Amino acid sequence: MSRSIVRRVSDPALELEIKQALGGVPELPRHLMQAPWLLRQFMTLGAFNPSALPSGLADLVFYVVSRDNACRYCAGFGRVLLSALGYRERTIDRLERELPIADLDPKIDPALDVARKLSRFNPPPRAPEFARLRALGMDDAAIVELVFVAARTTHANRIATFLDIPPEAIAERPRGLLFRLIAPLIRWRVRAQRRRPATPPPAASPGAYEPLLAPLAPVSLAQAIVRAALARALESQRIPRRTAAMITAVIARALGSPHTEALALAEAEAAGLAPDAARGWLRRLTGPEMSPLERELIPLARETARYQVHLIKPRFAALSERLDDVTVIEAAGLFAQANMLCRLETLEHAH
Amino acid sequence: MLIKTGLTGVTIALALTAALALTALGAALRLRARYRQLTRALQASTLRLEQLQTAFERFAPEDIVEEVIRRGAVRRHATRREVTVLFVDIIGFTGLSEELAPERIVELLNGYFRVVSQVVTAHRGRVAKFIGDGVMATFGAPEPNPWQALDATRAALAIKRGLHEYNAQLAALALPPIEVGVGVHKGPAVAGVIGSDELAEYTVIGDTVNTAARLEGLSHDPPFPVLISEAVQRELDERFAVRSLPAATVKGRTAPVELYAVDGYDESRAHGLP
Repeated sequence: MSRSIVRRVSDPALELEIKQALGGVPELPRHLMQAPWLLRQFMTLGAFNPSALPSGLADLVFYVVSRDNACRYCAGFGRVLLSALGYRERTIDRLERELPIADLDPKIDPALDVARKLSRFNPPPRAPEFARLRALGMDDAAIVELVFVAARTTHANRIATFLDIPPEAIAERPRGLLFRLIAPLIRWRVRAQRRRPATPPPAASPGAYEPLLAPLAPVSLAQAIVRAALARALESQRIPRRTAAMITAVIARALGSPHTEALALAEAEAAGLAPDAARGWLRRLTGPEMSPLERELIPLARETARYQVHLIKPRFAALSERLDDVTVIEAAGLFAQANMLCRLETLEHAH
Repeated sequence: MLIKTGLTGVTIALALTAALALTALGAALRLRARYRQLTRALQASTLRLEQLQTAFERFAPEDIVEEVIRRGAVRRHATRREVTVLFVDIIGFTGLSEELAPERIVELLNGYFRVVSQVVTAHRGRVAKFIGDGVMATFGAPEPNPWQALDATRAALAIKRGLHEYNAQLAALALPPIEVGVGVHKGPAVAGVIGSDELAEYTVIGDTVNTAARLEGLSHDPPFPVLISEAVQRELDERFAVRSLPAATVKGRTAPVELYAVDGYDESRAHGLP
């Protein structure tokens, strides 16, 4: 089994927390235990179960976005999940080759196109793509859930890829007789997990990013969850608030997300960075006011917007040689969060 | 006697059943082996297709490759976008090609193209085409890049450095050194798949491309600096050692083009270090 660039640690209290939230302790959250805010952000985002999306579409979105991001961990996990939920191998293969699977539901292919556009962001989905979904009968809530699930998946994909999280053992094994025997158990556990009503997280402040959450209003639970997830990032011990804000601004500029960029600059200013300095950093990806950590992370942030796995992994491996595990995990989380925010911004074109 | 005959009958029946079972087992095993063989063949074909796709992606952007795979063809569509175009060309190549044997020219050119391509890719650019001994690279297409002018200028300087090292290899092979001209310009261009049903390519076209090519032509006068336009210079910062040159008139433009030479890059200048 391959090894992550960060160590796995043991923390019984956090393991119990993960088990209570997810029903087990998968590799990805296990590797985040050194950065509790990121672990909790990951679990907070995962707690949302869509209800307005057509049945099963969220699972398909998770799979196609993970494939699109070439995330070995998430795509392997997604394939196991789809198999256990009863999707035929032929259907999964068609998804991988981006072939239509409209025999399941006519809304699925256009929705998956939007999910792929959200993943690639070149160009991102705009009003015509959302209007097409609306014409097929998807309402505001379903569209919010679609974008939320795709954005949440890009978050998980980036963390797993940047930290090189090893795939779950079950995803690496052939799906033979043993898998067929345990599939009903997986199915039962997944469905039981999803039947549990999600508890709205406690009210929290997401800093300057609150206006980005307005288009999530048709699904108030998703809105509250993103708000709480963003508030978690403000708990970071290793990466200062202004650094996190400028990471977000750089990624927003790389992806052409003007609203996220403007809010990130406001957040940086609130954290004490002079506006001129912030604009200079954005223009040149460097600046005399930068700390050594910022000189590491700000230029790297742009590389996380569009990446090829074989190029980005060595960059993170090299980063882990220079920085401690906690900082590397937190950086991966902040890069992932910024990419997620830019995806959520597309909802401004949906309503 | 009857018992003996009965036992013989049972024995024959058992033997026949065993033979049938063995035949069925043999057939099942052969079927399983065939199934595995077909599965392996299918996996090998899939792998081959993936390798082809990877190879194809060197020639066309990923989304174009995906479209070819999905639709069996590609729509000729284009978008207007801001791009930075870099041109590189070997100075005095015509004379060089007359002096050297064809296979020596190919050897020299292959190494040169390798250096340029690697540098361009490392700086987030894309080699759009090889034109004789020249290379056209784009920054900002097919993927948007807000830092395209910085990347292209750093790539231009890195090409010069890379070829300096390549010249040492050429000397060891008893081949003459090469010197290149480099021109960089930024502006609007049309980017997309252009061509006929038989032959199409992803490229950028427009005045920005022509101007970059003209700048490269102007850089052939010693000492062969990296030449950039004002549009590129505006985006550079104190890390780049830039000096202004007299404006020049280029073919296809009525107004003279403001010219700048880039002599170097020093990251520490941004940090206020000596």
